[in-house]
Amino acid sequence: MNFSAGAELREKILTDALKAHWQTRAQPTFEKPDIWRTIMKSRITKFAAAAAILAVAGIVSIQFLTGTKAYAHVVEGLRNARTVVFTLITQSNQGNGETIKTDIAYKEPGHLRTTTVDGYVAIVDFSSGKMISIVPQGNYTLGDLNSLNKTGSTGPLASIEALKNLPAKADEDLGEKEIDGIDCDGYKVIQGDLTTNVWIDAKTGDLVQVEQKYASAPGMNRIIKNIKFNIELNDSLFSLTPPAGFKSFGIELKSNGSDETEETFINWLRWWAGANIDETFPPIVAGSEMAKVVMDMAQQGKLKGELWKNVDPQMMFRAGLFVVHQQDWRYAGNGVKINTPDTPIFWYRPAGSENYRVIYADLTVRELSADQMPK
Amino acid sequence: MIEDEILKWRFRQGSKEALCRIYEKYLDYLLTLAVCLSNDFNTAQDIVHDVFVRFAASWKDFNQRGNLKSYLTTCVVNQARDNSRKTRRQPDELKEDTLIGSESDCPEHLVTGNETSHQLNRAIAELPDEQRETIILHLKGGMKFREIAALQGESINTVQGRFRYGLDKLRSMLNEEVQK
Repeated sequence: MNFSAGAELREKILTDALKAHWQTRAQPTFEKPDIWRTIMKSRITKFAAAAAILAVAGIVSIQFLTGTKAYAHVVEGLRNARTVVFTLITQSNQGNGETIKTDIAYKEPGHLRTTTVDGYVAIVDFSSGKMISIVPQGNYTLGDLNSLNKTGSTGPLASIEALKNLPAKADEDLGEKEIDGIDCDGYKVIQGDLTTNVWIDAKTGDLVQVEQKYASAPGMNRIIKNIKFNIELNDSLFSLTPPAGFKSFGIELKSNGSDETEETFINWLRWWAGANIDETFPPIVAGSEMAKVVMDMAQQGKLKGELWKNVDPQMMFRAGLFVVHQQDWRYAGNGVKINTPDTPIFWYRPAGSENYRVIYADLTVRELSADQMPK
Repeated sequence: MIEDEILKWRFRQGSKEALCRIYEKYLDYLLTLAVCLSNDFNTAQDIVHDVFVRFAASWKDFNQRGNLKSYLTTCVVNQARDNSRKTRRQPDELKEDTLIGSESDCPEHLVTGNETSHQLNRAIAELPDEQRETIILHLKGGMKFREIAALQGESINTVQGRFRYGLDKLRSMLNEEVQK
């Protein structure tokens, strides 16, 4: 027998709880940002620093998604697991079909590690809000994510919320398919803009693979595989201590909550478009794979070295945090040149708003209702 | 799991939004638990109300490293025990006026269940406090025996014994009902 609080009771308890919260609450004080010096000694190093910065900001947008509620044992396993590991595969948006693989590991309470195949590592301790980004060139950057509490959005919780809001029944049976030698049954779930294909081992009922596609944002497709729960994960995997022999970029990134704004994000987009030879916007704007994207572009000679030498690390960091603060956003700026007419590149729905704010390639902003949104 | 860790972290930072999310996530679960422990819906409302108000005010000192759900469950259990000590009532079956079907004219709460559930609830209400608490926490609260042992300040063996004897007694009571 289950009980559910009625509207009146729900409202009463929440009101009293918020009142108690308010009475003990002091306005959070945010430290003024330190003055950083960016150490840029070599062409690769300066790009690596930027990559590390973006990884610090991007890590918290990691998308977690697994099977539908209909596959209760899978969802329950994820919810109750003390550790979980999986591989996240995203399109690189370089136009060449290349994909980026990131291995994700999570261990209670609140330790997250992401690793790309090239050795870009980002580690977050959600208990303290501290993180470290390590690049294989032998450098690291430390970060402090204390502004994540400030927003009204779900931020990194958005994907987990999406997991819990999956419908009890799939919309379509996809039939059978062999994935990595495993016979799977597939199910499709459509939720607005997002289509999720879930593949489950026909024999064991284990989750084998999840595919996500956003109709309005091609290029944000993801595949999640190699999912395992409750395996042994050594604490050293989540250590925030820099590896021996690695050197700091001399940057410690701190968020202050007040500068992670749309304006900061637009400034960063403008800067990025001016800092690459194609005058296009970045391939992606969030996610730990950003580090690899930056390094790949640098090695392909697409970035204007001199401009990257003088990049403001704090602007990059806060622009990334602006994105992950949003609860409902899409990015379509990959390959789009700045000032391309009538081309939306980014849209999001501010917390508490029914309308979307849409940023165009000329970096103007319009507010649109849901039915006016770009398709 | 992951969400709870982030919610705890944000809550510690003073986030009102995190508090609201925790509230929405666990309100009904804690209310159900409180009803089962206290055998009275009105008392259960008070329990959950007090737990959330105290929780909301605790953000500055909140330093819970373990499972958030277990923590809130413990708060409800402790509050239910305090209430029980104050009233010193014998365990009573759930009052009939709190058992309301989905077509109820009472807007305050919704009960899902049937007559079997009611019989089970009545039987649970007749168990000794420790056995009832153990069964509810394990079956309803999803707590492991070692967590219940820590909460009750007993050994795991004692807790498992309470669970076993409680179930045996429930079976016996329900079988008597069937035979009637």
